Amino acid sequence: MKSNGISRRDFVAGTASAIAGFTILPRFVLGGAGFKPPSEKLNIAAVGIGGQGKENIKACEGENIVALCDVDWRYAGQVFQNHPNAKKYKDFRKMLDEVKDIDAVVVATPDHTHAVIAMTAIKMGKHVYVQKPLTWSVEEAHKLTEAARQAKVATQMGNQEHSGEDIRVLCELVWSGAIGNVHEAYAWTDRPVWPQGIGRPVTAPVMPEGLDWDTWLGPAPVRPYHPAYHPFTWRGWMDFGTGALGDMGCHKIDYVFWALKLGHPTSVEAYVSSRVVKMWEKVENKETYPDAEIVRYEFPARGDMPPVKLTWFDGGLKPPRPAELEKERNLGANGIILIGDKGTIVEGRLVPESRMKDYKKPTQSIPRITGTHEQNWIDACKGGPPACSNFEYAGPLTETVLLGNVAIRTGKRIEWDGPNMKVTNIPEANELLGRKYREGWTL
Amino acid sequence: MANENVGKEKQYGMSRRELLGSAVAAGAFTIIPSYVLGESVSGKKPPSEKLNIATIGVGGMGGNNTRKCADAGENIVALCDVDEKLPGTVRVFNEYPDAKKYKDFRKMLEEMKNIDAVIVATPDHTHTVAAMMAMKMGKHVYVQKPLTRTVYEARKLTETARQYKVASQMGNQGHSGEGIRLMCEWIWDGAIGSVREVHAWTNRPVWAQGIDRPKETPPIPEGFDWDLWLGPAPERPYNPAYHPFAWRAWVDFGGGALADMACHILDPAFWALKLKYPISVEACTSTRMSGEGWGKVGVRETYPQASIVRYKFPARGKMPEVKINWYDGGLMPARPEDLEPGRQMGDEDGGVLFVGDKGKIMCGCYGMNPRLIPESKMEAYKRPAKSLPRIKDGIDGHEKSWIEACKGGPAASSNFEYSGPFTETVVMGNLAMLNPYKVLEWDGENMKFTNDETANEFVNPPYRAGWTL
Repeated sequence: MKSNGISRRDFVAGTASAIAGFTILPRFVLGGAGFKPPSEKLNIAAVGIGGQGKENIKACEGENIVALCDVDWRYAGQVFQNHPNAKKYKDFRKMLDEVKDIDAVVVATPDHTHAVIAMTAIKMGKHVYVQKPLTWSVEEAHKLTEAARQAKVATQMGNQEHSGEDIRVLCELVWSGAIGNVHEAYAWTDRPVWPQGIGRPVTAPVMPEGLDWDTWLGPAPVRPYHPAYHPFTWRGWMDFGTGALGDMGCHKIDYVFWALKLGHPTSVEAYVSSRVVKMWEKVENKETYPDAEIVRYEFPARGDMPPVKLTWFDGGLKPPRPAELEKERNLGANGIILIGDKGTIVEGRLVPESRMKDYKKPTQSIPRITGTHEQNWIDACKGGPPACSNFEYAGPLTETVLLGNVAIRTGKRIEWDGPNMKVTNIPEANELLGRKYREGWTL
Repeated sequence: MANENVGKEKQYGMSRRELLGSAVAAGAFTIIPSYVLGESVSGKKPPSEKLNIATIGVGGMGGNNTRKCADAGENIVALCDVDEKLPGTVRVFNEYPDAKKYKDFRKMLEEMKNIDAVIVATPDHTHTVAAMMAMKMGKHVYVQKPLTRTVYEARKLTETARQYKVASQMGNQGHSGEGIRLMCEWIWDGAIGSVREVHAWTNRPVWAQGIDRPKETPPIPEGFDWDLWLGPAPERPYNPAYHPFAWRAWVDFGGGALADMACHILDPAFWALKLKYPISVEACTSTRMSGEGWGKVGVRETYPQASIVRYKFPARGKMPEVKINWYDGGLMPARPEDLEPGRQMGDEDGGVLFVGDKGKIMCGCYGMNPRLIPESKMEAYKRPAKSLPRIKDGIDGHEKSWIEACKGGPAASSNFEYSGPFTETVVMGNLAMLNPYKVLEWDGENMKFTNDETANEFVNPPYRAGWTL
């Protein structure tokens, strides 16, 4: 393992999710705190239920939904109605203090409050399901992963495609040598579909009734409420979201990360669209992420896999169409391309399609997830094998994705010492790995 | 050089036109001025006489071009601008009290019978009509870059300049410089081996792109003839979002960052790699969300704020197929691994990186400061003899190169035989930008995409009633 430069953490994640070797040795037998036997129902609480949380809760309805928390009760209304027996909260801290029988917590708030909520829950020994991206910052992802390991709780990041068939087929295809050695990879999204590259609003509209803005802000710096941030459009704002990369990178880069067994990159470089309002004056925007981004990651050799360059595009930018792709086929809104020395894969299939049809399907080496991504986590909470996108995997994935934002905000190529969590060539870039929390908030 | 080019002509399947262009640009004819050859060139004056020069569009670069010609001792006899109150116009008008002043270039060309040569420095969408009229009257032309807004216009101007045997020059002044010549000589010397990949970039646009058409209709400023400014472009109400200067962003008027800067930045690639027409082009463009639903801003109205355009050129003689990747609006190619830390890629305007199978060469905008990278390779490189003739005063001599051509000297450095096809190739990239995410296959000789009719619509969009070529 050492020769590959892969840490124990990577190794555990890889074998656990790839082989499911722990099935025969349920976790609760190992003495982890709070693992219920499969026959019992979990008591689940959710924080942030107006958006994706609503879907996650629906998938958990076979368990007891005991408490629901949202800073904005206008958006929580319907979910509250669906679960009349659940206790209702605005402040997750109060909820976790008061409701003693919570086994597991779903976190689906904006990115900037994932870490503080999940950390509080983990430290209380509760299992956590956290929406992607796992955290707002590289440092938070690292700390959450460590804390989950220490507390031995079941974890899952909400990148649900990780439970799917497609990512498994891709891994098996690549691992079977279908395209040989991969030196070049691309991932992209058509996001943002919300405005980015804009300045901070100057108006201060009246706070809507039922919204606890201060708790919404959580550890982020104080600023007045504005509908430009909430609901939904927080993703574009650097203080709250992680942009198109954080949003979709955890889905799309996931495919590349698993199939190519990636760990820490050695360098990250980003170029972004500029914005001009007045002639000859480019707006230096420290408020929102840009309209369009290119992020280039370099990864070292891993075992018998050679070094690989991964390029991310968003905001309308896309990789060049591979020559092998049939003319009538278009690259999708989101996708990946892997270019090997023996062939090319576009969005999970060999191109051209005739090559895919001729290729003898590799044997299934990765266990399939039969239920939902949430159920996969619930099973882990009850002592089953770790969930497929548990933090041992999802933490490093998120760290890598979010390093792209460090490069974007630095504006320079950064060289990364992953094991020591350090940008080695630009000292000030290290300040962007995390941030000083607002007073009253700690991790 | 002449012999070398003749030899390569057949080998490369180059047309007579190209040969003429490159040989002339290389100065092969220096010893036989064209007026000596007795060509029926109307208006070629001997070097001893002064040219009578008129300028159309004086508020921007036209003022500089005019000044260079005046400094060279030529007569500035007429000046034309649709906006006589614009500070830039006022200043230039005042500089030449004896020059007759016009708003309408058509009137100027009809009235002033003694004009020998015309500088065209209007917005892109009126280059062609102005230059065409002048050439058909036998006048020499200096046209700002990009030569034209559309592929078809560039073709027509090139043909017309040839037909009327006038001296022509595009205002890509870097083409007269030392840097571009060194790039050619080093690449032809095999300094980096065969080149299969080129990356070029610019910091432009430094004006807003990716924006919607303004809804306000402010009054037209006094002294400004909006209808004339529009020229052959489709009618729309005046707005300061178009004039002055910001017209480049708008598809109806300008060619965006690509047309503005690729005429400088891709120039070394076009010359050194002996390019002509690409076989395909593919673009992807930044989108901007309006914030209202999933609405997008500025689509097909302006060029995007940022883009990547990927051209593919066929093999040329011993030179293999090459891909040229263009980045603008803040986007850049990957930083080469062998570029020393802290070293800037190109310069503040942009740059080009040639990737050969034996090394890399990088330069800034205008072909400035070419260097093999890393610097240790540059230092170890034994430079070949300077085989290409130099233009006196280099970049600063670009107007002078044209003036000499007007007086029967060799064709100007960036005459239309070179800059016409070059412009065609640059501006066809905009067709990909307006039709992104497809590999558009280009039949350069016939000026059309063979696999996409929609993209062909912009090859030669119709002129407004009352305007023709």
